[in-house]
Amino acid sequence: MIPIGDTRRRFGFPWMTVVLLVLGGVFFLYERRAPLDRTAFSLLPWDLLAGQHLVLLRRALTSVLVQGPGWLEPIVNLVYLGVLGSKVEDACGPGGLFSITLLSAISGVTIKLAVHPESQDPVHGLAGVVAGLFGAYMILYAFRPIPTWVPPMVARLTPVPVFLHLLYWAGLVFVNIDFGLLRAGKIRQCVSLEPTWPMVGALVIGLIVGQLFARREFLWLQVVQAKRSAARR
Amino acid sequence: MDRGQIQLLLREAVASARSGNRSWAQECLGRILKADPYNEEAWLWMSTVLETPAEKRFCLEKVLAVNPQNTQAQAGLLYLDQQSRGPIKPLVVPKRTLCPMCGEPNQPQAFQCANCGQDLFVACPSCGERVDIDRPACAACGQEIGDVGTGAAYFFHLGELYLQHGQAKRALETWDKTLFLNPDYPRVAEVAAEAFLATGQRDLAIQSLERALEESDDAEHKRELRLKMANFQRELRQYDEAYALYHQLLLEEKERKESWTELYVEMGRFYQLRGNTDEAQNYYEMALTLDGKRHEIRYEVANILDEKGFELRALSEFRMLREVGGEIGERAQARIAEIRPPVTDTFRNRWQETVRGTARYAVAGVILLALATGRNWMGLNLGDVLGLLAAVLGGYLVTAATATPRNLPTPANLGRLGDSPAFARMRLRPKKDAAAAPKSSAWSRFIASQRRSAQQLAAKLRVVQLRVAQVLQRFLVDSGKRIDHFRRSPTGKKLSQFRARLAKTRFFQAAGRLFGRVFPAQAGFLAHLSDLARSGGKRLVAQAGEVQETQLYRWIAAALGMLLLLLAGRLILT
Repeated sequence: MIPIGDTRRRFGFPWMTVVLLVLGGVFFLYERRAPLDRTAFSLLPWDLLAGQHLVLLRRALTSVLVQGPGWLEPIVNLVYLGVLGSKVEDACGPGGLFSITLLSAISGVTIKLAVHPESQDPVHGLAGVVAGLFGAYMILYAFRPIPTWVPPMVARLTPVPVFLHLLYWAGLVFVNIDFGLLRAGKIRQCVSLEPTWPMVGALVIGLIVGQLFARREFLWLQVVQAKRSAARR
Repeated sequence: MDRGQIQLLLREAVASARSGNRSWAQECLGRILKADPYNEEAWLWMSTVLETPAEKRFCLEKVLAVNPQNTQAQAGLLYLDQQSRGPIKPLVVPKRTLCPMCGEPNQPQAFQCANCGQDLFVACPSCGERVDIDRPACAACGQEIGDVGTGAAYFFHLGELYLQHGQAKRALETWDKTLFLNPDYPRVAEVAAEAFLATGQRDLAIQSLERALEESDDAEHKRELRLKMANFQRELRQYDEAYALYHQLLLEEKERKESWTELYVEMGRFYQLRGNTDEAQNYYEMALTLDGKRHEIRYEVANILDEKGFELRALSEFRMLREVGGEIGERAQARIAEIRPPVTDTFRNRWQETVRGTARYAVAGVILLALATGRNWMGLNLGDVLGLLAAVLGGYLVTAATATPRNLPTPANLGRLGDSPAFARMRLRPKKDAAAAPKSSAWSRFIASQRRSAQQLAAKLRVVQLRVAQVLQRFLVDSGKRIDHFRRSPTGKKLSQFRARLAKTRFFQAAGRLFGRVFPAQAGFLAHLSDLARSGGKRLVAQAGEVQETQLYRWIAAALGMLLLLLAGRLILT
């Protein structure tokens, strides 16, 4: 299934989402042509020990744009960034979205390094950002379903609960299948799970900061609509 | 003078008077009256040759004094009396009201024709007052009714007025009279159909319209009647028939390669009634493309967009309608207020907003601290803790300064806080009576002194602000002069012409609209800047003298908050 999202907006064009998508897309395409020097852009665990916190911060930001090898994970992340980012930006404004993105990315990175400090893999990717956006979307839109294209239905979109999307996304991003082992018949060994604590942490951060960065007008409209619904009842 | 001479002289005077020689007649009669002052005939003739009524009256009274029974003198005096009263008015024949149905004259104030019983008055369509059929307009409200002399046309027009004012039954009764006077009067069947529909007589409505279709010779008129028929069927919930007729008209329109706005509007209404808002919107938008001034249709489109959740587009349409003004403008304004109710001051300044704003900086501080320390939570030092506190405090000050100024720790707000119920609940000791309490405590003296200092500072800043604004104004005026000078130069003229040509292009206009949509705040700011430049900075100077105490505190809080945040960043990240 492919999330299409809701194009209805209340406050304006989601230009910050477009900027992030363009940046992510540019980096993604560039990496297919020529892989980036990950040591320059990604976050490395031993940076923590170096005590260079400003470098750490810079790397935490640039690591978000580095997509890494493969096609599925970056594309899925970009799709969800577009779908969720536009709605979160409508609720929080461009500044709010940027802040949520930043905080989610940093928290994802932080938790990964805190849970697996011995890891030698560079940290990069949009997974933390997307997890944070999931959290923000859930809290801002009260777990509203996301319009999704579910084959074989072509003509209409199906509203799929956001929890299902979260599991679907997590499955695509964090579950690795070794097709060689699968072909060899080793079904149990072919499936491996990447560490999910960073995603959970970023999700929780998204749930917290979603309400903090929401526009005042958005919250006011929610209050007014709640009053009107109560009056109708 | 003897009697014979008097008679001769009298004969001479009469002949002169009759021939018109008044002066000689007066001479002769004067001699006679001198000789014989009681000569009745001489006085009588003298009254005829004298000019003024007073002289004539004198002579006639002399005659009556000699002979009171003289009838000629009496008649003469009577005539003179009547002349003195004025001309006699001609006799007025009272007007008669003609019955419009049978043509018989009736008394002017009659209510009914004495011959056929027809009412000689009508009810005003607007106010319901009785109006004589002789009157072209209602005396009470001024509603124009018409000239009864036109016969059938009068009743036809009256019927249309009744229908316009929602009195369908009266309209039908009036049109009966039209047909009585002229059975072939045009369009009666067509208008009667609407009246039948309004009174719920569906079959008669359809029959009437069918008759109108048969009677009509004009192809264009027939098309309009068929559209009306489709509308009637729509109103009567005969949706299949209406749908068939609408699409038939649509096909004919495509064959003729013409665009008919009314057809699209009615089809839009048809789909809207069926609940198919997508199709309704399509047809309405087609109608608007053909005729952009159909404000009612734009209103419907805006409502549909709002129903579907496209708030921004709905608001854009309502804002366009608001510019139109009038009744539709007011309705659009009401809808804008409904869709986007303005944030109240209470909500804007509630303490939850301050907490939210402060929590943003606090959470950011915690996350950055976590990134900096990693797993080494026990390695937190004083600098980290102070950095976090600075982030919280700085966040509070920046939030209060920018978003919730009522929650700033100003002397006024702190003073009010002391009296709030929440604070009272937190007191360990109950508050003493006001009478028993000291008149001014150290705290209140401190608050008062802080306020005085702030007011003095605000006054100084007002002067600074005014001076800065004046400098800016001078700069803007000078720049304006230079720009004008450049504009008048040949290069400037060419540039202006190029700019004017560019502004007319669709691309430029579309780019402007896109910029305004994507960056509305920035577009507004640019517009504000250009206004300021045009006004030569006068507004700047006008606004400059208005520094309030609250504004001052906001500036101070914002500056302090930013400093604290920078300090927090420094402490946490290094």
